[in-house]
Amino acid sequence: MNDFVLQTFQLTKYYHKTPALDHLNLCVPKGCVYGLLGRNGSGKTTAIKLILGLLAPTAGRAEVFGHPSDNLPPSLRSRIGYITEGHHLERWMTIRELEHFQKAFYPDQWDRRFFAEMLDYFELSPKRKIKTLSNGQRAQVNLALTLAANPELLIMDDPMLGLDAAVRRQFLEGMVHLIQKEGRTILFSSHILSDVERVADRIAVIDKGVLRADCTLEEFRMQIRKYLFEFPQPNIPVDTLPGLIYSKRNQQMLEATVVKTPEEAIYEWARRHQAAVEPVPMSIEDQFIEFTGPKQARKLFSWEMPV
Amino acid sequence: MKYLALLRKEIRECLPWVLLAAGILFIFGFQIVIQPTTFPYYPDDEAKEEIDPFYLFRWSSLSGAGSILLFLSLCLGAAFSIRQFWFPSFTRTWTFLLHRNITRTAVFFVKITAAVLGFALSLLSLWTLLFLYSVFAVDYSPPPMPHVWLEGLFLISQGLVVYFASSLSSVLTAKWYTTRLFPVIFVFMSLYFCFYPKTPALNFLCTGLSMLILALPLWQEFRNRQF
Repeated sequence: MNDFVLQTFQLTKYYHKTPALDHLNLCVPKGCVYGLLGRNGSGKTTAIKLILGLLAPTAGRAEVFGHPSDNLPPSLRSRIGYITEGHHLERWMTIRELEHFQKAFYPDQWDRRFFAEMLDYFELSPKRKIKTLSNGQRAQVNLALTLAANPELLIMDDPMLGLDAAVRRQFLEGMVHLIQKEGRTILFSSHILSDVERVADRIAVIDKGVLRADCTLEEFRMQIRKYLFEFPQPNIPVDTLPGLIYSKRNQQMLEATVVKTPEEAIYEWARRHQAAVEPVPMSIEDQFIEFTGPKQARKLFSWEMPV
Repeated sequence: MKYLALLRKEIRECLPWVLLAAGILFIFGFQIVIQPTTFPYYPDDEAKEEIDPFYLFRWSSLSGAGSILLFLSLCLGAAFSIRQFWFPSFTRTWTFLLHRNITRTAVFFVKITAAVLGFALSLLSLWTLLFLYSVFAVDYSPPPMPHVWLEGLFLISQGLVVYFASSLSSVLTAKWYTTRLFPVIFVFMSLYFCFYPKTPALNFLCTGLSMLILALPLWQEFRNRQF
C-alpha cells in the first residue's frame, strides 16, 4: 500500500487514429494539490475522464485509491468529488432541489451547514433555478455541491474556464476550504497559470497528450529561464545553445528560453560567441507558453524534463 | 434513498409528457366514449371463426379511443427516450448523473422504471378509467368485454417498444446511417409482427420479445458507453 491517491500507468487513449493521451504516468500523493496544465486539446480532459473511468483507455491503466478506475465501485466514487468543465447541472432544478438530490447520494457525508454557508458566501438564493444562473454562479453552486459532500479526492476539469477574476478568486477560496481539511487531495486541470500558482503544490504539464513535466511549481520556475544575448555580428549560431526551447532573433540580438540548463553553461556559451548576456525575468505564464509553444517555435527542442 | 431521489428526478423530467398525454387521452377519449358507437352492426356473413383481437373492440364505444391510445403511446415512448437518453448528451449532464455512488445498471433500471411508471400514470390509468366508464356509465352501446382492457394494455406496450428502440438509437455512438438506424428499422418490423398474430397471447409474446431484443443491447451499451 502506498501513499498515492491516484496513479496512472502508461495511460494511453486514441480517438480513432489520433492520439489524445500518450503513455501518461502520473502519481498524485495524498494531501497534494496537483495542477494539470496544458493548452487546449492537450489531453487534460481525456486524462481526467480516463482516471474517473468515464472513458476506456486504449492502453495502460489508472488507479484511484488503489482501485482500477475502469471499474470504480459506487462506494469509492462517493469519496471522489468531480467538477466538470462548463459546470453542466440539471437546468430545471432549483438550487434547493439540486441540494436534496445530491444529498441523497451522500447521506452520511453531507455537510448541510457548509453548503448553506457557501451559498451565503456566494450570495445565492436556494430558490433560484439553475437555468437562471450565470456561468459563474453555476460554477459556485457546483463547487458548493461537490465540497459539501466532503470528498477525500477532488478532481476538477478546468473549473475556472470562462469565469471572471472575482468569481475565480471566490472559487479558489472555496478550494482552499477543502485543502485546509486534513488529508484532502485535489487534482485540477487549468490553463490559467496564476490560479495554479496560487494553490498548486505540484504540477504536471501535458502537451499534445505527452507528459512533459512533473515537478513542484518551484522546480518548474527554476528550470525554465530566459536570456537576452547581444552578439557582435548578426550571424548567430543559435542551434548550439544548450537546452533551447524558444528563441526570437532581431539583428544581433537573441532572446532565448532554455530548459534545465545551468547558468554557467549559458555564460560559457555566450563567452565562446563573444556575446553579452543578461537574464530576463519570466512570469510563470511566459514559462508555460514557451515550454508548450508551437512546434515551429521549438523545433530545436531536444530535451525533455525528467518525469 | 438515492434510488428514490433518482427515480423522483426521472419522473419529474418525464412529467410534462405524462401530463400532456394524459390530458389528450382524457379530452379525446371521453369525447369518443360518450358518443354512440358508429359500427354497432356486423352482418352474419362477415362473422369470422378466428378471433380478431380488435373485433370486439368495434362493438364498444371505446373503439375510437384505441387509435388515439396507440398514437399517444408511440409518441410518449419516443418522448421519454429522448428526455432520458438523448437529452443528457445534449445538455452534457451525463457525467453529473453518472459520477455518483450508484452503478450504471441501477441508473438504467431507474430510468426504465420511470418510463414504465410514466406510461402507467398517463395512458394506463386513463385507459382503465375510460374502460370502467364505458362498462358502467355508458348505456347506449354494449359494454366492452374485459379483454378489451388488455388490448389497450397491448397498445400501450407498443409505446414501450418504441421507447427501447429510440433509447438504443440515442445511446449508440456510431453514425446514424449504420448501427443507429438498426433500432428504427427494427421497431417498424416489430410493430408489424406484434400486430400480426390473431391471439392476444401471441401479440404480447411478440411485444415482449421485441422489447427484450432492444433492451439487452441498450443495457449493454449504456453500461459500456464512454461519456
